[in-house]
Amino acid sequence: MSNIKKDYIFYSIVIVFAMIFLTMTPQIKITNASFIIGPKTWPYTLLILLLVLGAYGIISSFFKSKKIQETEATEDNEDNEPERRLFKLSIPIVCLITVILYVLLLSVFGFILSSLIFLYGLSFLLGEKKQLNAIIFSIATTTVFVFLFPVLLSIPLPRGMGVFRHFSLLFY
Amino acid sequence: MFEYLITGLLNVLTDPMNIVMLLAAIFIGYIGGAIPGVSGTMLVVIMIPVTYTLEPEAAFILLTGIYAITSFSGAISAILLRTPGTPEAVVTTFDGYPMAQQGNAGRALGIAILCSVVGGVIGTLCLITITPALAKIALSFSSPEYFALAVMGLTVVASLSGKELAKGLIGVLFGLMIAVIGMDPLTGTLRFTFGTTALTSGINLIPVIIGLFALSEFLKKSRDSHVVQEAISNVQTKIFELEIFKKIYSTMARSSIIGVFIGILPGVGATTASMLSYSETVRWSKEKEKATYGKGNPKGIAASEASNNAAAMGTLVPLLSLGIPGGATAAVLLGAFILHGMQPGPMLFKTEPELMYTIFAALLLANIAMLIVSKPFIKIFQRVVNIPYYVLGPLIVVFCVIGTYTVRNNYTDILIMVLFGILGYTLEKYRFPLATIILGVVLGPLTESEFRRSVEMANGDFSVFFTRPISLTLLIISALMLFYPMINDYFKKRKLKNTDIAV
Amino acid sequence: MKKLMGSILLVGLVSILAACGGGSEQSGGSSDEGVAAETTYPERNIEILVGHGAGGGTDMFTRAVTKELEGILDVNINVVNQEGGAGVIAAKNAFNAPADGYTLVGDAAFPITTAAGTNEQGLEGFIPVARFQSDTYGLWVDPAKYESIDDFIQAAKDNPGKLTIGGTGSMGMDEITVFLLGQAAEVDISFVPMSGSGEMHAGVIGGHLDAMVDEFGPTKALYEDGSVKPLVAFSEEKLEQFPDLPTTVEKGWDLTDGNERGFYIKTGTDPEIIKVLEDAMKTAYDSEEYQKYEEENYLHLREGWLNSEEFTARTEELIEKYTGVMAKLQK
Repeated sequence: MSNIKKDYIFYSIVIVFAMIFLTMTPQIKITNASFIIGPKTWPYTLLILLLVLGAYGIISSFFKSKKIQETEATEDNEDNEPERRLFKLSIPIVCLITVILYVLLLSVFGFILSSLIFLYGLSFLLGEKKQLNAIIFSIATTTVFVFLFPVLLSIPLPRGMGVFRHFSLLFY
Repeated sequence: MFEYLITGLLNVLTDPMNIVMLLAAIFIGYIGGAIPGVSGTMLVVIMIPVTYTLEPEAAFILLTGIYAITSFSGAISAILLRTPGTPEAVVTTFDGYPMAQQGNAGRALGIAILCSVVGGVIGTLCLITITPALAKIALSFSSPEYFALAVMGLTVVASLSGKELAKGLIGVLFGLMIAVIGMDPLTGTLRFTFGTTALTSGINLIPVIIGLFALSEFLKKSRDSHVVQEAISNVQTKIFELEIFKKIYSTMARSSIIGVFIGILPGVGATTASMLSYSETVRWSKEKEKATYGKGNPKGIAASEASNNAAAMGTLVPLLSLGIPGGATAAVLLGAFILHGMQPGPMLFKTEPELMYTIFAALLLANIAMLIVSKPFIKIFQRVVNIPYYVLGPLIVVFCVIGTYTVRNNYTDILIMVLFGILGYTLEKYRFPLATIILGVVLGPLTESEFRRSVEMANGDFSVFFTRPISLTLLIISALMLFYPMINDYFKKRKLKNTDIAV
Repeated sequence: MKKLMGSILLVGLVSILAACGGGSEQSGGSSDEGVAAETTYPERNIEILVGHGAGGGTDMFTRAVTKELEGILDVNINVVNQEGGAGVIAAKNAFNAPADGYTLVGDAAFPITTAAGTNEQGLEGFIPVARFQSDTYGLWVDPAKYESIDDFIQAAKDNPGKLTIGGTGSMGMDEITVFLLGQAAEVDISFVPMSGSGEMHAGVIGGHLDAMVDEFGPTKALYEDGSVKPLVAFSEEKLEQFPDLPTTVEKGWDLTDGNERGFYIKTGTDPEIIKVLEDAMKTAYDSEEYQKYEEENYLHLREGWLNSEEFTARTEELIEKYTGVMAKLQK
């Protein structure tokens, strides 16, 4: 994708973002009208400025693209290095999905179980070759974290729900 | 005063219990601060019950010592993992991490330590010598001045965004918009909370920065993690290098002063202090150099670290002289004094001068000790860069999650962090100046609330910003700073064009 | 060396797995027993959620009580700060935890947040366990500026809407107090919400605010130093330590509200457990250490203790009152 195209997409997103929030601003329920500058003024100011900048960006990209066309339009594609893929998805996307799953699991399974699964899985994904190493790594790391935060420093970590909550209570 | 300080030093150094506490403070502060998810405030809170059984002297050596050390040690993970260990170290990630990635992890840590010590010592000396005078200055600051300060910080966006001013401005506006979300501090009105309770307290800075910087970096790195990593760590760990010192000494001095000054203002805090002095450092640099910020400029680390340590000491100024805490940790320390049956304030200097000066001496010693004990710590820490990514990567993600969750024990914050991770990953691919978003989020609450509060306090008189000398001066400076490069640029371009035509 | 490490870790793994297996049985058992033998409470660490940042009045109160309570109940008590929405977030999280008696809320703004509607559960979701403090407000000014409360009221009458009174937070006790003062004294004064008590104190001493409402504890150092002075105390009776200080009731204003700090627990908790907690809290309240803490921070100006039943009635009364005030204030 050329840079100009990327610019178009970026500024369009900015405009859409500003528009969405602008339509939400009037819905802010004012609970205390005794103030000289109410709670809506500042978001309005910011969003209108964002809108203006988005529009400016699109116009200026348009002129830029014309200029480039006039001269010579050969854009370099920087991101074209060969990528390792898994299930047809690039590794960062797979990692991202893993992270999201981990975070979602946290609320259900609690810190201990979800971290065990996550650390094991992710270290494989990132190139660990040996099964045993991954198991040891995930258990050791989870143990250290649990010992350090809830046990030693009494900083609570997510406990999960139901049975898993009871499970976590055995450790911290 | 001088005799008191000597007595204080002797008190610390002759009582074995005090020495133990000072060492404990250094150790706990070093390790605790380096771990994302454990902030200085938290450590002090955790240690308060431990101090119940101690004599006041030993207790406050421990608590204030931890506070002093953690203002530095948060930089360690900021530099190595791009995950700030404490909120104060947020700005250190901007230049510290790129520098470490270029193979200079040891050097980056060295700069951070040197500047922290200098900032900390300058801060402590100010605390000891000119506390009453500083407290008076702090009192002459009110909402209009706070607002003017925030504006001054915001104008640096022009330099932070490099050639693409429009994108930088969008970044700042987006950051300011993030800061709007939640309960309006003045009217209690809920803004953009989408009907959820979790957002009523707004979006915290930590999930934003961890997402934008740490998680996005993890995603980026995961792509080439299978490539065998070469050892990039620099073997040498020099804390003091004349060559670098020559480069950064002026930054260090300026940032320390800014730090102390921002620190004494109640409710502003060390994170804002480091953001503002980073802004000033970028601004004071030569045009050519400006583009190197955010890409591993040692001055960036110096600015952030000198000022956050100086600010940490600065927040103790109003606490000890007026009983008004200057920041979050100072508020906890105030609580600790009260639980020990003392009330910080001018009276405490009269009733317990020895205790006060013992604390000062301990702070001075803690800051200096930081320099002495650092070498082995750095040697260990800088190896982190060489850990294979299939080990380091998962660890970083867990740190991101814990570091976010522990700020206020809120699960939603983790989701927000992931969201910003995705955003950061996308924007970084697009070469967007991410620091501008942080600028907006840090200064957002100050800008909006203080503006509205000023108008409120002046009963609707908008001229209040221009009738007060300090705020007027600050605003004029920021206007000049903002437009100077533009005007300069314009003239340069014209000149260039003219010569082009001439040729 | 590597082998050794490996085997150590393996042993660790096995023992953890063993612990897990044993653990799940145990947990199943204890939840059954919970109903039959309440007297075993508390068996493990208790968490007290505080909806305010570390170092503030409510946080300090919780920690001071916790210090005593830990010894009485013989368990660890973790104070967890869950800042946000004037305590609403902590309340919500406590409501989402099971009603097993191990999650409590330390709060001061419960009636207000319920009246404002931000605390969705209110008394349907929570049972007040005990009230510890009924703090007293004062109206504080720079001594050089105003001589007496009459001076201040006169100044407010001469400059309607011009006098600024600082308080912390918005739609909280501070704002309600200022609002009610304005109504009672029939003056038009302007409330300025400050971001924290630090900024507020600096505002009064630095002359940026005309006055502030605050309690007697946090202002102690400033008062002893002569930087600020109280004009009026928001109480029925004269305060022992301030014999010359007029009270609001003396002035004919029915304004005696203050922050009432206490503990709440989720509805559905075993009454026996609540009884155990209530008794332990009473012991903590009466302890010498705690009383000393109250005295040093001017928290003893009014009797604080209310047991669960009394505190419930009081909370109901306050919610009703503040709902009325909020309706007027939010207009």
